[in-house]
Parts: sequence; C-alpha cells; structure tokens
Amino acid sequence: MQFLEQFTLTNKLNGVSGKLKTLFAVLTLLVCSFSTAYIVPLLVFCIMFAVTVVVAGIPLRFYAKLVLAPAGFGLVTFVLMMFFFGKEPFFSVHAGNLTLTATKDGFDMALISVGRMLGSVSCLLFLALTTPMADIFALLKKLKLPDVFIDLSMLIYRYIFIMVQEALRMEYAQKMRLGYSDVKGSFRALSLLAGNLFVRSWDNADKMLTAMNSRGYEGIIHVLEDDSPIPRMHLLGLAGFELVLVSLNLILPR
Amino acid sequence: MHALETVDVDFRYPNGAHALQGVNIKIRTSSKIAILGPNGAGKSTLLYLFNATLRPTSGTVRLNGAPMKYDSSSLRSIRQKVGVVFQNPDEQLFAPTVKQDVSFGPLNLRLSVEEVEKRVSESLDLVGMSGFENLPPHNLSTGEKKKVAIAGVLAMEPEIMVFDEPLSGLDPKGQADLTELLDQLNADGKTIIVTTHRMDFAAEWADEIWILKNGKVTKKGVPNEIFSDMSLIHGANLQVPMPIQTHNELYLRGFCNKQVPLSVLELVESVIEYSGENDYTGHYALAKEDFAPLDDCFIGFENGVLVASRDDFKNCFARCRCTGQVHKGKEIPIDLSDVPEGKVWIVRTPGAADGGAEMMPATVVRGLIDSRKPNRIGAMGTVAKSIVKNTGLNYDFGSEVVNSAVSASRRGLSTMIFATGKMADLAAKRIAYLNQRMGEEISFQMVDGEL
Ligand SMILES: Nc1ncnc2c1ncn2[C@@H]1O[C@H](COP(=O)(O)OP(=O)(O)OP(=O)(O)O)[C@@H](O)[C@H]1O
Ligand SMILES: [Mg+2]
Repeated sequence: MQFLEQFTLTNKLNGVSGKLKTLFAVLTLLVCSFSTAYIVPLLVFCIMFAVTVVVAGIPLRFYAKLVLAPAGFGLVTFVLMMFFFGKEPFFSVHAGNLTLTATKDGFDMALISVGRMLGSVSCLLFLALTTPMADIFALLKKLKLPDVFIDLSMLIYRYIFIMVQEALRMEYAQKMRLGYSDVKGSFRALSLLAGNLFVRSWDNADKMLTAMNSRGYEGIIHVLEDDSPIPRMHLLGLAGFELVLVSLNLILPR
Repeated sequence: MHALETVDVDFRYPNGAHALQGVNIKIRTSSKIAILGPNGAGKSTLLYLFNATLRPTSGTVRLNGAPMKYDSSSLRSIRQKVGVVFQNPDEQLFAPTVKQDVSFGPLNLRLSVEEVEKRVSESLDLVGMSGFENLPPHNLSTGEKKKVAIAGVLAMEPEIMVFDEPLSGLDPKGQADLTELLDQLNADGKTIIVTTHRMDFAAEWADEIWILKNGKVTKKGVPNEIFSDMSLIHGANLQVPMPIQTHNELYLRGFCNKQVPLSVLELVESVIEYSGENDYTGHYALAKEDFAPLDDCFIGFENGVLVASRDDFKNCFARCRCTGQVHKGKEIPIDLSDVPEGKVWIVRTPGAADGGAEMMPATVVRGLIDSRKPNRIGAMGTVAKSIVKNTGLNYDFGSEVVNSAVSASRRGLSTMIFATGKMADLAAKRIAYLNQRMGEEISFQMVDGEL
C-alpha cells in the first residue's frame, strides 16, 4: 500500500519549516483559484511542479500518475465547455453530417477553469507530498483554530491508517483462505469485511479513549508542537511571490 | 507499606462477563510483581483497575493505603502515580508523530515544555527509540510501537508502573533490554507490575508471583515456591521454566541437589555441587600453542572444536591451569577445579541525572580497565553502556549482566561491570543473593567511578 504521505519524511524539502510550506501552498492555492488571467494558474502549475519534482525530488513517474487523473478530467471539461458554453462562434468541426461549433467565450472560460483546477491540484499535491501532517496541525494550532477541530483531525488522521491497515489485514486473511475466488464469494467476503471493519473501528476507538484516559486525557489533546518560528526572510519572500502573482492578474488581459 | 491493594474486588463487563470475582491482592511498595494466568483469566482487567481506567463493580482498590476515588481530581492524581502500558500498542498510540505521542502524558501533568522535551528524549532513549521522533506511528513495526508505548508511560514518571505483556512482540535483544530497564526502574524505587506468559522471565525476574484463573487468585508466592507446585502450574495453563524442567529430570535421576533453580546458572551450580567438583576426567581441548606447567589456558570453541590458547580470545568461555608440558596440536586436560574464581568489579558510573556519559571520561575508564585487567566487560544501563562505548571498547555482557559475570567467575574469568548509579547497588545485591543461593563466595568489589 502506497500512501502519498510516505514522501513527506524523506523529500529534500524536509528541512524547510513545515508551516512555511503549508502557507506557501495554501496562499498560492487561494491566489490561483481567484485568478482572472489564465496565465497565472498555468504559471502556478509550472512553479509547483518544479518545486515538487525538481527541488523536493519527488519521482516524476509518481507525480505524473497523480496528475494524470485530474488532467484527464480537465481535458473532458475543456472540450465540453468550449463546444457547449458561450455564444460567439470561434471555429467549427465537421464530423460526417454533424457540425460542432466552438465558441470564443466558451474557450476562454474553459482555459481559465481548467487552468485554475490544475494550478490548485498542483498546490495540494505539493502540500501532500512534502509536508508532514504534524506540521500542518502545528500551523492550524498557531492560527488559533478551535481545539475540537484540530483534535478531531488528529485522531481522524491516525485512524485512517489504523482502519486501512485493519482492512488490509482482514482482506489478506480472507484471501489466504480463498475468500475472493468467485463472484458470490467476493460479495460475501466484502460484506463481512465492511461490517467487521465498522465494529472493529468502533471497538478500537473505545479502547483508544481508555488508553488516553489512563494517560491523563481530560478533553483536550496536548502534544509537543514544533514551535520554531518561520524565518522572517522566508516570510517576506513568500509575501513577495504572492504579490507578484496577484499583480500579474491585474496587469494581464482577462 | 502496600502500593496497591484490592479488597474483594468484583468486575463485570457490560455484556455480563464476570472477569474478576472477589480478588484480594496486596502489592508491596518497590517490589517486582508478575501476574500469571491463562488467556481470559482477567489479568488485563485487573491492571485496568490499578489506575482507575475501570472501576470495580464491587469492592475497593487501595492506592498507598487509601481507597481510590473516581472524581476527576482523584483520577488525575491516581494516573500520575500509576502508569499502565497496554497490551496492544495500537490502542495507545494516537498522535501524528512518535515524539508528540510520548509528550501527551507529561503535558497532561501540566509540566513545562522544557521538562517535557527532556523527559521525551530521555524515555525514548531508555527504550532505544531515539531517532524515531518524527515518524508517524503507522510507519513503525509492532515491536517499535510497543517500545514507543512504553516510553509514553515512562515519560510520566509514575511511582507504580504496570505493563501488560511487555515482552510480547519484542525481539530477544529487545526483551533483554526491557528486562534490564524494568530492573533499573525498580532500583529507582518504583513498584513494577507485569503480566506475562513468559515463565522463565517470571521465574528469574519477579520478587513475587500472583496466579489468576477464572477471575480468582489461586496462589501467590516467591518464584521457587510457585514453580515447585506442578499441579498448580498445569492447572493454570502455565508451564515450568526450562531450567526447572531440566532440574526435575536431573533430580529424579539423581544428578543434582533438590533446590529449585530459577536460572540456567543456578541449575548448573546445582549439578556441579552434587557431582563433586573434582571429577573432570576425560575433558580435553586442543592446544593451539606450546604450554608449560601452570600456564593459563583459555578455553573455548573455534569452528566447533574445543581449543586452548595462552591468551584470552573472543569465544573463550573458561580459564584453567595447564598441569604439565603440552605441545601445540596435542590435547590438554581441562580442570576447572583448580582455578581461582575470577573477580568481579562493579564500577559505579554517573547516571543520566548526574550529567550522563560525559561525566566519566574515556581515560578514567581506560585506567580502570588497564589497572585491573578484567577478562570481560559488562555494562548495565544506557549511560554505562555509552560510557564503555566511548572508550572505543565493546562490552561483552549487555544483558543478564550479573548472571553472566557470576557464571564467568565460576569459570575462572574476571569481569568488570559498569553500572549506572543505583544499578551498581542492585548488581552487588544480586551477586550477594546468588552467592547465598548457590552457597558460593564470589568476591566482588565496588569501585568508585570517580577514581
Ligand atoms: N471489553 C470487554 N467486554 C466484555 N468482556 C470482556 C472485555 N474484555 C475482556 N472481557 C472478558 O473478560 C475476561 C477477562 O479478560 P482479560 O482481558 O482480563 O483476560 P487476560 O487474562 O488479560 O487474558 P490474555 O492473557 O489473553 O490477555 C475474559 O473472559 C474476556 O472474555
Ligand atoms: Mg490480557
């Protein structure tokens, strides 16, 4: 089982403050999704790609696989928007006795939407591939988000892995005893697995709470957070970068 | 004084399972207790009662003499005093990283961040998990998770520590290290309670054993009392430890005296004592060099052949005296009866609290070793181990150190044991105890590390 997360501890950007990386990804994501000039999202995509693959050293193949799905989806969206949205004729395609007319405003809209989508995906991938969850939680805490929200995310995060591992273990145990050998058997095994997973998760949650109680849990999770501040120069650099992106939006034609 | 005491404790799970039925247990402060019993006996349930994770259906649990109360401020102080390491580490680890998980308990005690940082790194060091701080728990192996779970409770520094099957899932070295850690904690005055299915460990380690079956206490006693009661042992799905099994067989055939041995060392002593120490006829080693009368011969296996050398070597396990002129390649008779017993020196090193390994420079250690010339070096405790390592030497005994040293001494080899703070007293006590149990007089000497 491969998790995106595996790279967060081994990539070459590991030494950079996790908070800075999170801010970089989130701010760029925001700027990207509100961009009006199509160049900006595409620029964001290129930059994020470069930072993730070249600087952080995430394997290109792995990255490509992750981008391929949203890119395919983007292509379909692009075609649909170009042909079925907007009014101003742009060019036509003849297929037999069928004529499809692309529109100029449809094309522009497709370009900006798909661009934003790809740009945003690249921001999220950067975050997911280079930043350990613990750092993201630390930032959330710093931003004074409600404790309940952070505690819950923390537990969910840990739980995803317990559940996945549990599910894999069960699936493996079933396969070893020929659980998925035919269609009927597969359905039976799968339903057993799903039902059991629910019961076990419930039970595990109960036990985990017991264990937390026994270490003095009183409703708020206290753990050591990485408290190192983001270097001022880095913050300034980040602000400058985002400003450039925003002003590009203002200068460039829509 | 009793650290923990249960009085007529009954516990029923919500589904009706009657897990504990009228349990009366008393646990002396600063003792080492093992709780044994078949699967489903109620051991884990009992441990949950010890830090008020579960509340008895009826009966009372007393902590340091006072009945436990279950309001939130009492719970706080109970959990500060009694730490429980659960059987399954996945239940215990919840935080995104190892370090954060270990910091959870101490932060709940409202300690300062510096203190917490210190305790986290110390306890991870004690369980041998330094360097894993930033990994998420799901990237660890089962045994590693177990160690982190233990560190999580160590960091709270409770006066009573309860471990549910601490050895299960650890590799042999991990088990030996943990056993040593438990002794170290006990030497610091902590009460240690473990449940285990490892009989040899229980026999050798515990001061007192309680046997639980079907939710009831069926027997308590010191290890040799417990393990000489065969019907009790088999009735509780337990097994007699290997040295005792071997002893029984040998005893019935008339090859040893009847005192029940708790370790391999004691078993061997029992056989030797019975058979008379002088009967070594017919044992030979291959001489690797020429020997003159009264030369030291160091004996050990090399490629499956017993050889004798004039100098100590790595696999050597005994020293004896050559009786006559023996040429290289000829057989040399082995007679351990005539060898003076090897000395044991116990060097008290500074502990982590006194400033750690830096407080004892390599030159001092070298000096001690060069002046006494021990055949073997032992190290007890993490700090002592790094002190020895800092000199560029390697220790021969890193676990079961005292047993190994005593055993080596009986075979003519001397040992210098480096032990941290209270572990040194513990080692001395243990040698005295073994001397008394085996009727021997192995001479040992405390050496001050500051020398
Ligand atoms: N959460 C639970 N709900 C209901 N019954 C339980 C629960 N946990 C344990 N039991 C029952 O209580 C009894 C004692 O269980 P316990 O876990 O204390 O045994 P144990 O001595 O620790 O066994 P093992 O050596 O297998 O760990 C068993 O009969 C078990 O079925
Ligand atoms: Mg149990």
